[in-house]
Amino acid sequence: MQNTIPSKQVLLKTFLTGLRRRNITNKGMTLLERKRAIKLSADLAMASVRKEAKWSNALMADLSRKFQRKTVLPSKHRHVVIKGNKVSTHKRGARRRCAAKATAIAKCIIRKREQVLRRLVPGGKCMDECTLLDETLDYLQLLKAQVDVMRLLVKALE
Amino acid sequence: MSGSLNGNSASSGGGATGAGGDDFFDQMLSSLPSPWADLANPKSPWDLTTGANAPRSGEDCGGYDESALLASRLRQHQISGSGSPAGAKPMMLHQMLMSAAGRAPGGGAGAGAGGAGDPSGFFPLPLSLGRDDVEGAFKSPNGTGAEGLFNGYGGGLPGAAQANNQPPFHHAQQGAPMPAQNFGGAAPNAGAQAPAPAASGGGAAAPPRQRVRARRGQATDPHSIAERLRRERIAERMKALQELVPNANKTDKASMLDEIIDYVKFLQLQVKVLSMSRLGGAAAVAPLVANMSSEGQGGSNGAGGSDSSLTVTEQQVAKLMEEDMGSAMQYLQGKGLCLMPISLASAISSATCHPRASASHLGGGPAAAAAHHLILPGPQAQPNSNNHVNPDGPSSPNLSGLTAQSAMANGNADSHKDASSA
Repeated sequence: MQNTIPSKQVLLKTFLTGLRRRNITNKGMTLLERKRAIKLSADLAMASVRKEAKWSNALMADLSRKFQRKTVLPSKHRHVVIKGNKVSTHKRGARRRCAAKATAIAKCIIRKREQVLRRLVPGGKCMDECTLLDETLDYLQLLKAQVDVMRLLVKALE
Repeated sequence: MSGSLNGNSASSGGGATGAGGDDFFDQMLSSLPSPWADLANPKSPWDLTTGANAPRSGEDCGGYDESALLASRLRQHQISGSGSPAGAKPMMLHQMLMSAAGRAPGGGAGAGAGGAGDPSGFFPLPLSLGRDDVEGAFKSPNGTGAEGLFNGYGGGLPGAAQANNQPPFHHAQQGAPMPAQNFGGAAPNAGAQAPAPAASGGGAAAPPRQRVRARRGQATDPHSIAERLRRERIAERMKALQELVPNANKTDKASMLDEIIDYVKFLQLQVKVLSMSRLGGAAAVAPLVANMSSEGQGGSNGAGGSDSSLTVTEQQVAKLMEEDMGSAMQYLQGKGLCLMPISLASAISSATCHPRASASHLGGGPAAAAAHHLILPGPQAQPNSNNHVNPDGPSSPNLSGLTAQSAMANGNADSHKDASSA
């Protein structure tokens, strides 16, 4: 497991560099465009700080697919089998049987929530449960660092 | 009737099936005299024995039915009745089942254990019954199944199991497999509570065998071991996540997942909201980024690097500041820059990396006044009133991108701060 706490300096640097590249300063950008560009830089900064994580690669692949720009860092596409179907069919079957049993109900709930988590964490569809939790941990660390950095920046600029 | 139970059963069972039947009933009778005596006392459920005699004839394949019957009978007896034999009844069932298994060639151990009257040894059997191969469990020499379980369960189960026995047996509608399954379900729970003593107790109680000793609460097949391993890994991760996520004092997996999901959503939303704020101005600063990169190299070069690009502006601002703070501010805004007191920058820079060279400079002269402040990129020509920069108090110290201009007397900082906040 990756336990290094993300260095905020590096994050900030990458973030600002990315922002510069996107050329945000021109006033032609609407708020929405600007927001997207900033978010893109933020995501990229996050992903580039932690290159070895699965979610990071998935995020970069996702972003490059969306934005198709030269400035986006090269993405590594991983062809992983998506195991989502198995979970959903099992859940449907389990629903019928678990009317009376508390543990089975709890399992249904857990499975539902796990699926939500998969949707939230980039690349979560292709992971098994253990990896999913690992990646969530990592992703949360990075997210928190990124939010802190952005907050600082906003505060400093006001 | 009670007497007939013993007598008739023995004779009819023995007569009908031969040696197997004798074996079964002998063991039963020998090992369990007193509980049977209690049970055999007139209770209406025992009427069933007479009706049930017929199935007893088919001993080998009907052994399963027997145990089912016994199970149901015991349960009925429990429900209808008495407290004292209640505890003994589950044991009885197990013992009878064990004896039934003891009919099989490998059953010597079972019989021996049964003869010892130790109820603890029998509990594993329902688990083996709970599996699909009931017949196998009865007939096989207990290669891996019952014996393994037997060894595993020998020690600590009796105490826990006695408490658990009542509910599983109430569920036993269909017969032996059902209570067996439920008990199998209950046993791992009970087993999980006291793994170590059970394992050691099991080891001590079982006669020495060259079999895989199953850990308490699981069978020896690789599937459940892998399951257990996987579950432990997941629990580890959950614990790590618990430290990260706030409000994560929940021990329940489902609520932990819920908290995690909420937190991820929250952080993602924050990123979105923050990107809609006026961060855009940050991108405008070439010197800022240049400074950071040079800072990454050496730190003290930062001031020098920025000087080249901002010197002119700096001086200009300083000049303006002498006259009127407001005009200085306007000039800066026109350039898309803002002022910030050095105290903040010092706090930040000291917290992150090497102290700024500028912080140590002391110098007089109003010309350098502006230099003492951080000149940051601010929002460009914004109509609203937030143009004077004065971040309140100490923000988090990690913002290392701010540049500190070259030196100035510290005293000026406060006065400028006050002025600019007006």
